[in-house]
Order: sequence, then C-alpha cells, then structure tokens
Amino acid sequence: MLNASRPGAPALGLLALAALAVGVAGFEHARLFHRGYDHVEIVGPLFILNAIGSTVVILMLVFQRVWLFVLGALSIVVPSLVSIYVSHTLGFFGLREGGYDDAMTLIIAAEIAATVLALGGATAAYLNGRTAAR
Amino acid sequence: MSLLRAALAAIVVLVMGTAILGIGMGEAPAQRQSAPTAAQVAAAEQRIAAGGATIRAGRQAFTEDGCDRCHSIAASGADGQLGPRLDALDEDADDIAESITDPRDDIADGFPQELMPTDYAQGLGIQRIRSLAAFIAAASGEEDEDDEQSGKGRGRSGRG
Repeated sequence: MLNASRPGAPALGLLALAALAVGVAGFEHARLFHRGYDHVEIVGPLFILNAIGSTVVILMLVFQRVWLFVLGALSIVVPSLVSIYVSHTLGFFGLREGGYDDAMTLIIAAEIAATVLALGGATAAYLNGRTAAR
Repeated sequence: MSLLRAALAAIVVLVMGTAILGIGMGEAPAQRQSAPTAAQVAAAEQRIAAGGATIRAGRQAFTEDGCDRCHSIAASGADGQLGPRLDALDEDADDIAESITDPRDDIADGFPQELMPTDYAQGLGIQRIRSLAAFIAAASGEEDEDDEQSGKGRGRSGRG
C-alpha cells in the first residue's frame, strides 16, 4: 500500500515529474481539441475529457491522494497511448492518422514519461512505506 | 490546507482551465480558409445531385472511409477541420485522385504534413479513389463556368 502521508522525497519527486508530464499531455490534448479535433465525433470529446481528467489527477497529487493520482494518471495516459497507436493503424472511431506531427510526438513523449515516472514514484513510495513500517 | 497547496492547485486550475476553455489556443487551420458562399453550395449540391453513379459512390465513400472526419465539403454536410476544405479546390478529378494517393506531395499552407495516411491507394483501390475524386471535383466546381466570378478566396488546394 502506498504511504500517502509520507511518500518520501524521492517518490514525491518522481510523482511531481509524472504530474508535470500528465499536465503537458492534457494541455496538448486541449489545444488540439480547439484546433480542429472538436469537429471529430467521439475522438474530439475524448480529447477534452483527457484534459479535464489530467487536471483532476494532478490535483489529487497536490492534495496528497498519492495512490489515486497514480491510478488516475495511468488510467488516462495508457489508454491514450493505445488510442494513438490504434488511430495510426486500424483507425480509432473512424479517425485514421498517417503520421506524427510535433503535437502528437510531444503527447506520446509526455505520456510515456508519465507512465514510467508514476510507476517509479509508486514503487518508491511503496518501498518507503515498508521501510517506515519496520 | 497549506498555502503552498492552495497556490499549486490554483496554478493547475488556471493553466489547465485556460487550455480547456480554449483561451489563446488559436484556431484550426481550416477555419482560416474561405467557406463557399450559399450560391456556391447550392450549385455544388445541384452538381452532386445531377451526377452519375461514380459521383454518388464517391459521396458515399467520402463518409464511409472517414474523409469527412478531417475535411469539409459544405454541400455534403462534412465539416472536418483537421485538413483543408475540399469544396474550394482548383484541381480536376485526376489531380484530386493523385492527391489522395500521394497526399504529401503538395501540402496546403498551415496544415501538418504528417496527418493524412499515405496508404489509401492500397486500402481503397483505384475505382473507389476515382469515385472520391469525381465527387470532390463536383463539389468544388472546378469546371463550373462561374468559377472566375465566384472563386474569391480559392487557392491552391494542397492536402492536409
């Protein structure tokens, strides 16, 4: 179980960086929504939901709901990465994309970073909690 | 709640809220293109309605193959904004078919080069691409005699 009250400095650092990465990806999703994706059925609303969800999970970390932040962040960025892959291969709700522009590349990098950092932060917080319990 | 947490939360809400509301986010490149006039749309609707089986098949393919997700054609109700609008082209059906099969050959200004898939030639087949091209040409009115007069705002089509 994650130690929410005392995640430890290394864990907190990793989780803060994860929150920053989640924020970058969410911000880019919101920007793309207003730059044309708002006219794409289903995919457009998912973009804005991504941004809203990202805001909520970042606030979870701000208010020390560590495990909710980790679960929330992973439940946003992992499906988002899968969706991007599917939209470039089979098509995602009818939308097919042929390549990765700068915005999409930034989102992918941020979401991969968020995944790694959130998992790393969760692991560090878990280990810190076990050490403190002894 | 500590002051630091409150300040952090306020910054997060301010930055993300601004993006979510679209403040300062700009606009889709397609929105900078001139939309056809009501008369041009009506003329395009007539050309499409009077078109043959190829144009009808192209109109159907335009929706079925997801072209309408990214491109606008007012006469057919398509309002995609990710790529350039296709009812303001100055290309004939052959050039349009070439644009579908090789979309990165000539990109319209302001549109990302990478978005449109390059495998339509394999995925759709030449007949379906010809139908699509015929429909788009009919919608854009390339051969319309009023082009000279009503062509304000039209430019090189490019592809998105």
